[in-house]
Amino acid sequence: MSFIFGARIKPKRQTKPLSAVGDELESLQAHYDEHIEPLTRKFENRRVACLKALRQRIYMSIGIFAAVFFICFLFDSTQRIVFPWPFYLLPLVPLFWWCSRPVTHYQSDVKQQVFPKIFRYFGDDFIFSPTHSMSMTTLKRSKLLPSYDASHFDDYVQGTHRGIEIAINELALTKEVRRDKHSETKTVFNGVMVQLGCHKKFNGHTVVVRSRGSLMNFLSDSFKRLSRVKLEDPRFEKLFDVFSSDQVEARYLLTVSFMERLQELADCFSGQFQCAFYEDKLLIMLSSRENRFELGSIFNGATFEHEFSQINREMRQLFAMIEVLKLDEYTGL
Amino acid sequence: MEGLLLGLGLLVIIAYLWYVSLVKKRNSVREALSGIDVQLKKRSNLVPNILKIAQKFMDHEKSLLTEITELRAQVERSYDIGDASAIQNHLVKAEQLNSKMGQLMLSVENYPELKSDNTMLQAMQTYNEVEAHISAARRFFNASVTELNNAVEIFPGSIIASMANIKVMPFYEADEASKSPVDASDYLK
Repeated sequence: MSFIFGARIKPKRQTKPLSAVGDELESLQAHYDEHIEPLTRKFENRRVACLKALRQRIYMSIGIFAAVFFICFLFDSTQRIVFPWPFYLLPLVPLFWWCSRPVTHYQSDVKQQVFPKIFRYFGDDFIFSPTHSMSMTTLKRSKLLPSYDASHFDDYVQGTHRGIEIAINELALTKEVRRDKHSETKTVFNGVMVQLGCHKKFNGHTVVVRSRGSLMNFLSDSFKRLSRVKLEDPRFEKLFDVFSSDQVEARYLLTVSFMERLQELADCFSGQFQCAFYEDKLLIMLSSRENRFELGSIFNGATFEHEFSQINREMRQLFAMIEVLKLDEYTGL
Repeated sequence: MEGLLLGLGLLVIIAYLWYVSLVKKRNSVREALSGIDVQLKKRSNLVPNILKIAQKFMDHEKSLLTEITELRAQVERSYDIGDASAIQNHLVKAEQLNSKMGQLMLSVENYPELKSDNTMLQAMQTYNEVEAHISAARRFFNASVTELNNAVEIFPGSIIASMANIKVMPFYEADEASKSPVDASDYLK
């Protein structure tokens, strides 16, 4: 509120310090000092300018809204034209869009100029792009996607961790659902798609989906033209259902130890986890409400320490998949 | 009278569906068995290459190499897929070959020249890969056999199975040597 009431906008040099688990802080700090800190002065000035522009636009918008409201009210009270009440709120939509433009521009510039440098911390080949995305046709071929009408990709990350290629993309899938006489948009999936390279070679298609329940399995033994693979581990069978085009290959991929690792991973992500082995890749579909790789509040200084720590935490969580599944080691199991 | 006919009709339909399910399960076992045979064939094709390389260096392991050659020939022999004892015999031989090949791989450790031979290393890697596939095929086979045996042994499936001449199938089991516990002190002398 103090921002609206005209509090002085001044540059901030320190917000939250870097944070990391274990002895990683030193390397995090070194990367920050070398690559990110030099950009902070420029972006802090941009942030201050952006906040000033935002406040100016808010004031102007309040004025415009008040004027429009007054004119409409005048017409309404003289009974020349009767305006329905939502009409009074209509000017708010373009005004809100206009006010948020400087913030959107600032956030987009940070994502394009600062975030790629943050992601370089994980390896020289790491790229971050808010516009690039995975191929939807490739994802569709995984047979994991639920039925949807529209898709929206967000941040994309690609690189190599411990010799394993990794691509991460945020994805939201929506579907138009008819309710009585009107239709509404329902989100059928929101989360992250993680594509990982795999040491084992395979030709078939195997999917591990959340358990459909014993009744469903009793009625149907197939899933999108893949047949059910009954595995030995009852705990795994309780959590997941496995379907494959090749029964032997499915068991070659899902060894007893790999099943244990998948369960461990499912525990980490509260079971919101499905995966598919196809086209020599392992695709993991992680359902989550969390919006990853985002910029903090515009009211925090542009030091990007909080963002760096946050992204590091989120990436470590995703890298844990490679470590838990031991995709980086050739164990033969 | 009509009720009796209806009941009889229903009974015939249920018995037929039960029979269909039993035949499907038997065919699933046969499919799994052929999956094992495909992998065993891959291993059989690989064995002569490994033996050729090994022969150059392993003069003292002649008897083991001969045994492997004989077992390979026995595993390659055709057998009756409808005869449970023939299947069991085939799987036992395959497991014996696996065990002997395991011994050979262990013996390779005693021959540094052979161990560092590139062709041998490559052959061993391929062999391990084939073994992983055999293990997967074995899991599929045993899962199918469990389903079939349950259906054949549990009443009233047992009656329909005996009428249709569908019999229980043997499991593909690990050999006795692999089942015995490992005594670490033997290796830590």
